Amino acid sequence: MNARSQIFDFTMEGRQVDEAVASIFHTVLFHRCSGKYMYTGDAQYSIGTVGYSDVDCDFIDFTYVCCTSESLTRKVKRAINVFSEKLRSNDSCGSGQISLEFFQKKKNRWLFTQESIPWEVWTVHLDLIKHENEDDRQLSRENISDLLTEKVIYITELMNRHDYVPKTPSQSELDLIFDTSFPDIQPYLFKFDYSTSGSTAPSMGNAVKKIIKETLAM
Amino acid sequence: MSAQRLNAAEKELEKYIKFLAFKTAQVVVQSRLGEKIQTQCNPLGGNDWFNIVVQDHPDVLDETKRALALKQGESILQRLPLCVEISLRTTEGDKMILEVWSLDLLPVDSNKATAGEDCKGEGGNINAFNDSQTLKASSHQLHVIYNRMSIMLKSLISLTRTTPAYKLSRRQCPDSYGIYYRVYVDRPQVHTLGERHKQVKIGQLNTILGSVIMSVAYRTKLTISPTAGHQAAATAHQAQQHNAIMLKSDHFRPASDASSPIQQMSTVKPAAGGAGGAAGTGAASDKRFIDIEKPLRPGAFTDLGKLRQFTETDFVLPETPPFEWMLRTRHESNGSGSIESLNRKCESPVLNNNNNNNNYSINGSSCNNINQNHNNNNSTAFKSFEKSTTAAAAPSAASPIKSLLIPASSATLRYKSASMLQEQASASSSQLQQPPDDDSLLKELHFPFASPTSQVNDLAKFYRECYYAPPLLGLNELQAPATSCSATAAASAALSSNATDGSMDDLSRQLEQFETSLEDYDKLVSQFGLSASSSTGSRSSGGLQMSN
Repeated sequence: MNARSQIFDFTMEGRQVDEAVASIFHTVLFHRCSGKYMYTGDAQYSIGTVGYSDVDCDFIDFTYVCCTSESLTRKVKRAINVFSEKLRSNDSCGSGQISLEFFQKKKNRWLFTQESIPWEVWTVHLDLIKHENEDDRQLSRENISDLLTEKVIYITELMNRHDYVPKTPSQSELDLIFDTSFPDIQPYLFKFDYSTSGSTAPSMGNAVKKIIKETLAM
Repeated sequence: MSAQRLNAAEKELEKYIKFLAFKTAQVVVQSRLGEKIQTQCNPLGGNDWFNIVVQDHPDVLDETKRALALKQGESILQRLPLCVEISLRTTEGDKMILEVWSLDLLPVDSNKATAGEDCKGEGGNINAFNDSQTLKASSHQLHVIYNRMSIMLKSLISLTRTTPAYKLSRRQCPDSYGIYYRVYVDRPQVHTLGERHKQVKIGQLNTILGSVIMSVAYRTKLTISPTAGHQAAATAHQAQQHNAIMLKSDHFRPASDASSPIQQMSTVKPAAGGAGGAAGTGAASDKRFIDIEKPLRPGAFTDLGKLRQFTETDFVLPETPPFEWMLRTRHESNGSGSIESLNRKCESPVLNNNNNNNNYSINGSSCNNINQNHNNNNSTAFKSFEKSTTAAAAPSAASPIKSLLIPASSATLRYKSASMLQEQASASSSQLQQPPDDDSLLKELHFPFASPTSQVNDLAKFYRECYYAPPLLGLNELQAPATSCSATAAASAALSSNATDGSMDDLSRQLEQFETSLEDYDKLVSQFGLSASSSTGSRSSGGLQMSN
């Protein structure tokens, strides 16, 4: 697995988490979305167009761009929300990370399993802090905005580097590369993953998964 | 590969580059309109270039075409680089160039080295274009280039929201400053961006025709002082003399958010030649610095409309008697204490109107300018535009000052209904001096359909007597000098002193009565057979208070 991986580190207040993560992930997804493919013949297809929307943040002085797709926005929001609530809950240690993983599926010999191969992973690592006074809060609001600007510039730089992206497949294999479940856009297959148990300690779920995988491999 | 086929691919590529240039200008200028943009997806496949819905603004399209000045059959390749310059101009006439977005094409020969470097850095990439590949311009490769341009345009869309000019453009309004654009064909003039400006390369795309490079240079130092502004204006003027380029700069709509912090700041700013004639503030603000980088930002969830903007006048303490707020003059305090909020209320619709007017007038005038000044040089176009802006901006700039100077009474005049006002105006002077027990209560107890002699009036009288505690003498003494200026002062003072005398008499009479019947009380106490303990003492005193 040679997936490209990018990690962004942030330190911020709990209420800023959702917007900061959303601004990073939506910027990435905007670049990784194409218009919907409409097949007219065997190998002929037309590509739909992607609309975009400006989104103003409430807790950060920042505006980001995302695809105008309600279903995509909902999906991203839900994933981030679950993570953010875990991260901000009382039994959290105030540190965690969420990643957006692009993958492609590979047809397998086994009928019931389909291998997923990630090719690009974007991770946002977060440490929560609490500000004592309003001045600090205002300062951090501006700092995070500057930091996000920096990250968006970095993302666009990476996107234009001509790195590997899966080739456009034939109609029958479209589902192996693209997520065709959205009615208006067609992003590359992606999923979210998160952990809130601190950066180093592996979670119980991951450990169990690993054991099962290893057993199966044997 | 035949030369013909290569030629066809080149033609196709040239078309891509041309439309990339057009879309670049559209995206940049539209992002500076000061409003949020939303375009809808079209899954059925639209005619939008690069599969991104970017609606073309006709003015911007015209400007880009004019800047490129492409004759029929002429290639765009010789005309690049294309630059879109975004600048800011305040109502005082200070100018500042904020950023320059550019689309350039490096010829094939000169980009060999960079292309080679690219490939080294991206070893093993499937879609990477190296020199040998660029020579084979197949339809597949054209498709790849098309997709790359699409990504480049998406990056441009994302990046336009992150530079400082975006935040400024969202807060623009005709009373404080406006954002302007200029499309020109030349090397980007980055020297106008001040010290420590930043340069960001958005993307580079190697093709058979050369290397398409999209980049932006933007200012990071956003503080302007009037002198710096003049210098910038001077340099800008020089630059204009050197390059005969039309300057087009207007059709931005004013910020829809009428209560943005910058605008509030602007309400205290004296406009150039403002008809309101706020001479005092005008003189004081000559050396004021405008720090646009760090405007006072309200926190989340604050109602911007209710925010108070402090001006120099707030630092001058009003000459009022101490503890005046303790006086029970509710109506007055409502009138004068909240001038600000009233102004806001009165102002906002007025401002909105002005905004609209400006919008239309600027739009109108700009169109005229363009039509008239097709072939004029820069400076004339610039000037004529300036005139039209100042003319349009003058009334709107004057209005906030005017409204800030509105006296309390006229502010209320606007705010309240006429009938109520007449009543208030006549009563306002006398209200000050009257003991504070009357009018509101009387009004409450004017029962409908009840004759003046009815029993209900007795009830009203009784209620009035019980409702208020006897007025403090001190308050009356304070009120008397405060109202001495009015014509009715003497009479009312006499009235109030009479009233207080009366109440004093009552009190002394009662006291006398108690003193004379002191023996009776003593008897009563002794009847209970109790010694004069502290408890009974307190009881009797309690009784006294009760009777009082």
